[in-house]
Amino acid sequence: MPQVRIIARNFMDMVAALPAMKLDHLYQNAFICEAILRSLPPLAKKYVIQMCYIEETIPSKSLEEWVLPDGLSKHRVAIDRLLQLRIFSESFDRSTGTSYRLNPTFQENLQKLITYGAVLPREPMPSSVTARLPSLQELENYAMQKWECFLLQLINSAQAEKMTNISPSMMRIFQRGLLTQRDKEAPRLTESGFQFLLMDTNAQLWYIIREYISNSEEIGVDPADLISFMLELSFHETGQAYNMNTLDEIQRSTIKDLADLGLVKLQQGRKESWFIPTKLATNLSVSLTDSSSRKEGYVMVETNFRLYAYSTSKLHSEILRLFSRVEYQLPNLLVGAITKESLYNAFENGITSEQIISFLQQNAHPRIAERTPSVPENVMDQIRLWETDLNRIEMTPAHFYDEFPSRDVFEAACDFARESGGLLWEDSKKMRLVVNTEVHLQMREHLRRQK
Amino acid sequence: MGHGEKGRPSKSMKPSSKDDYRNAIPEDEEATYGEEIEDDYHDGEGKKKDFSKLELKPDHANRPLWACADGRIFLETFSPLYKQAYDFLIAIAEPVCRPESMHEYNLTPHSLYAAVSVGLETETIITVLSKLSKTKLPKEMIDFIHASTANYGKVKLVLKKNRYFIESPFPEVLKKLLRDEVISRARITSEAAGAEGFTVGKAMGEVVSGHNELLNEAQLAAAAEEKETHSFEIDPVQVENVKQRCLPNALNYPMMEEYDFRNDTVNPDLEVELKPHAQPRPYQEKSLSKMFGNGRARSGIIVLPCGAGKSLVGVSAACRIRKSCLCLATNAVSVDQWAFQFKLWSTIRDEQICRFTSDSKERFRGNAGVVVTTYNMVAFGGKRSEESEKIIEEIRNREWGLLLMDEVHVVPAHMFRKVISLTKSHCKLGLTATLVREDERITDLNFLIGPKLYEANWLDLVKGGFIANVQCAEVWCPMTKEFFAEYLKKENSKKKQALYVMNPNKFRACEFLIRFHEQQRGDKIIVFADNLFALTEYAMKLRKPMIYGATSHIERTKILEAFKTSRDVNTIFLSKVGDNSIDIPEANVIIQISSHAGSRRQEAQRLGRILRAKGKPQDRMAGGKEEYNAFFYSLVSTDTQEMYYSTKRQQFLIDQGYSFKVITSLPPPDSGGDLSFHHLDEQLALLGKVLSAGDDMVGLEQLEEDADDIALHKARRSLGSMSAMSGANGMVYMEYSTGKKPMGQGKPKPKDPSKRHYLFKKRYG
Amino acid sequence: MVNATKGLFISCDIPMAQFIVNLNATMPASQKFIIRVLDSTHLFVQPNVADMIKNAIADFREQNSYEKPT
Repeated sequence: MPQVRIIARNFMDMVAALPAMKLDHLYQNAFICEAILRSLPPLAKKYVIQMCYIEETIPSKSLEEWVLPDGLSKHRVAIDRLLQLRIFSESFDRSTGTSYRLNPTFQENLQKLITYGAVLPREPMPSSVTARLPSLQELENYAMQKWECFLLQLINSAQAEKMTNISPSMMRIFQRGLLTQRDKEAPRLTESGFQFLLMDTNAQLWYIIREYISNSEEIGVDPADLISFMLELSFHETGQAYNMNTLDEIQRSTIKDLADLGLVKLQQGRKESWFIPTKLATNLSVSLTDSSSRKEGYVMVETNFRLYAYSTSKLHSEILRLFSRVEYQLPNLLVGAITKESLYNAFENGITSEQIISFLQQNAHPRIAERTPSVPENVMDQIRLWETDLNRIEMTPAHFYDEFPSRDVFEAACDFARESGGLLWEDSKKMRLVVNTEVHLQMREHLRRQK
Repeated sequence: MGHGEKGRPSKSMKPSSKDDYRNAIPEDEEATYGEEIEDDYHDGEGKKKDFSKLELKPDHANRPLWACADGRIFLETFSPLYKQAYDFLIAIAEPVCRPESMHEYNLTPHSLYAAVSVGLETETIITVLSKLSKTKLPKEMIDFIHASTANYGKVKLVLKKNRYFIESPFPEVLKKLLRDEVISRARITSEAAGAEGFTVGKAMGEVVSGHNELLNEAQLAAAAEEKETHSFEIDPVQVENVKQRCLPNALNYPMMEEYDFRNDTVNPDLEVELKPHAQPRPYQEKSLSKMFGNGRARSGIIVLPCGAGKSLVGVSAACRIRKSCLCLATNAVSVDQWAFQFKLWSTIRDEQICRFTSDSKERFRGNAGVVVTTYNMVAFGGKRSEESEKIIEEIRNREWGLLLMDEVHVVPAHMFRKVISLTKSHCKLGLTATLVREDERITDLNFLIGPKLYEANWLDLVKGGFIANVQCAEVWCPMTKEFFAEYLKKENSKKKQALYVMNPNKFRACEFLIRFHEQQRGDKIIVFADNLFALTEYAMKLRKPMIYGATSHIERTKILEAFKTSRDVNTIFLSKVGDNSIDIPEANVIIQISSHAGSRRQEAQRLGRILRAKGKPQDRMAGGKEEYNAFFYSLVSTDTQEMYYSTKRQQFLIDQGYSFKVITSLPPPDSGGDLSFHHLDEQLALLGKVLSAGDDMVGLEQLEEDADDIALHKARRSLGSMSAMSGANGMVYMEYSTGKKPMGQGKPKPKDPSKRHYLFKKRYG
Repeated sequence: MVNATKGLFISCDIPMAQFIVNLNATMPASQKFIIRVLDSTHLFVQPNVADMIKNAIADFREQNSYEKPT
């Protein structure tokens, strides 16, 4: 599913964009190495592991021999990624050509990881201090509830009537792309906002974290520190309590924000306070490339376009309303219909048919999830056809040129337009062409110069 | 009530006075019954119904259905209790849609009337529904059921010695009925009247059936061994009017009509029974058990998909009642078939059964027998031959045990009323594949014949291998530039249909499909077109036989025989005549080239032509060799009104669980000259022909009997033009530049189609 | 001298092009908006008719689609 990879890659892009020294510093943390290793495309992973104990440089030609001819493009992608993340360093020698070496810091930590495993910078607290910790199930419910609440805030803040209390930092994150921010107007969901709502939970989480980090960067926090902390967090144990005093100031403030998302639960004892990571947090590193949603599906779509969702969640109701007409709400069932009208509504908000179909497939109720396809074929086809129907004509402001004095002038004009990327149409027999209005002024100049 | 924040009483649930009740028609989807939650800010969307406050039972996962206060019921088909729940729900509610995983039903006064008619008691209904429900039953629903059924079973209509009586143990109820003008006018006062003017008599002893708690007798009449009944007589001619007045939407004392045939000593028996080889299938048995549940015969309608074997049901019913039976069919061919079916399934002897059509004027010998005839023959009001007159007299004067009516959805209401008023029968059984009519006179059937007794589930029958698993597809044919240009012009509005039907791309798609199925699969194909112009053009161009209204009986038989038996005749073209009972069991592909004005019944019926299951049952199951062995194509010209009509027509089938796959790539783009109308001049010639044909010639074929057609066509009927004879032979100058190409010199020889991949190859796995 | 006309370039499929041509034909002379029919799938029209055309197409599409009543 392309969507998740883009998001995850964006997070990794953020990592890769760190200055060299910072990146190297990151690699001193074994957990980071592990997380980054997990995020690599499969070929890249293999190369790293294969080179793990090799201290010399390896000519790129040798690496290429590892790959079958039709895998060369994937090979290039892997190498690029490794270079980008500075896991591979490249060197050039007249005689042997290009060769690669594994980043020594990275390599050292990787070896340590393999040999000894890794040790978290903090230990879980003894139960004597923490008394009764929430059970894993309670923790999971808590996490889901918080996360849903968070998403509902996003939806609600787009509905002017419902003003809810969102922390200003969250509001800022929303306004980075999911909500429009116009002074006199009520905030509205953007195209990205709509698409965001239909994404897989992990993809959504990564998006928010990335925005959070970018946000923090703008107020002076070092993104490398945050990145490091996030990745480290994902290696903690779900359900265990970790003392807040093991965190520095920035980390503590981050943890409080993460609690709002349901990634951790904060608790207070008599003297100490601690945080408990939930599954949302510990799933983070795994989901860097893993795009499968581990949620239980709840949606059933029938061949007659009726929709049944086994859910009571207000959030689900809102999400389904993005593209369908919800008709009944029962104690554990939502009943609705996917209609042309409801779909056009979605399309007009920027949601694509593929996103809707993906959403339905990923959230398919277990009863029908084993069926292939899990969403009836005729429903998928019809959703796509309706979308195509909306895009049948393309209109571009343009200029029409005719009455060229000679073929040469005409052809020169064509070439010019083509090179400027503005040639929309031409008829060489009749010597006419149509040019994008943006290019028109340049075109006019060009023609004047011709004289 | 659980969520009564706003405290608004649901409209239809309180029939405190009969006026209230009449005003609140539950089928009216405009009324909102559910409460809207206070903070629901989606008011603008309208009717979202919130029943979320209903109390879920702890074991709700094991129960198969949800019931809402507005009468809507949802049923999970994957529940282990599905089968029982389905049988129960189909008896008490009207199905809204029945696809694979989740069914929806509506509880209405009419559907409850039907339930009580098959013997379900009010309390039983509530108890069973409650048992099956995931939540505690909403109080409104319980009240609704009580209110709707309170009056059922109190009044009976009885036929005794050719006289009709309204019977009830409750004289007050009778008095109430008589306050109605229609009923009082229908009354025939008799001299032997008692104090209140009613004849008092004793009810016959009831037969108790033991096997199923769900099948008890009508609640009140069952109490004592011999109860006093009061009755008054009514004029036979007025019977349906009286019945209509008693329906739930009027006085709400719907009349029970049960025929105690076992104790009927007056009418002579018909010695006939089912042959041993006649093995009814489970759903056929079920439908009969609804009809004969308590040992009597109930009047009503049984709904079975086409090709599912309704003849056996009809014949079985006749064999159980064992009295004279009048069987009505829609046309002469059908009459022949019914006679044949009687002889096939039962021990009836030739002299016991006779046909009465314009060609055959037979009579049966003996006191009792079966007469098979058409609605037309009985309802005909004009002058008859002497012989016919005699037969009609006999039909009118006999007290029939069973009036068996085929295809009740086809016959216009007025013809029905006539037939039913002209004949006297103890029990009426209507058979049909669909309860859908475009003229909305379904309620007429309720009082003319009786309530729905049973309705089979199409998908279940497919799963059981009883009817074919049909792959339905809509083939989108883009209009050619020139055809579309003409279609858009205002002055061609009357020709719109002709233009989208004669779209050359549609023709090519049709030709391709015929070729594919004939040559690659050896199938038998029927092409339907209710536009005669199209039918003729297509059939002639493709050189296939065609049957339409004016085709003689002999010609039809010849063509159908050849289609059945000859290896050379694999495709036939049928006009609307093909919709009614022309039995073609061996076809397995249908191509519709002209979708007439959106009749849902017609679509279902056409599908029925190929629903007869063929091949071995195991092959037909999912994953078997022939998972789809029947194909239903609807060819539609895109960007035209045809799309609208096509979607509308499909609604019924979609509600039964069928889905239409959209195919946009037929014929394959590289077909080129393999198919007709490849060259522009051919297309233009065709266009010329269409445009110059008279308006009346390019319209639909009008068959009188088709009430749906009349209903849908009313707005569109064009006044036939008398001109239109000029240039009608296709040689018309058209103002298109065809370039310098010479006129086509005859079609290039069609090549053998190369291996085409199977059209419905699975996309996955 | 090369002539340049300002307008709106429309790229679409054959039926839509035909529809727009027909729409133009039904307009009174003063409101005709097609400047040039370029070929069977491209048109050049007056610059301000985008919404009008979109709405006309939407209406046409409405007419040809059946939605099951709720």
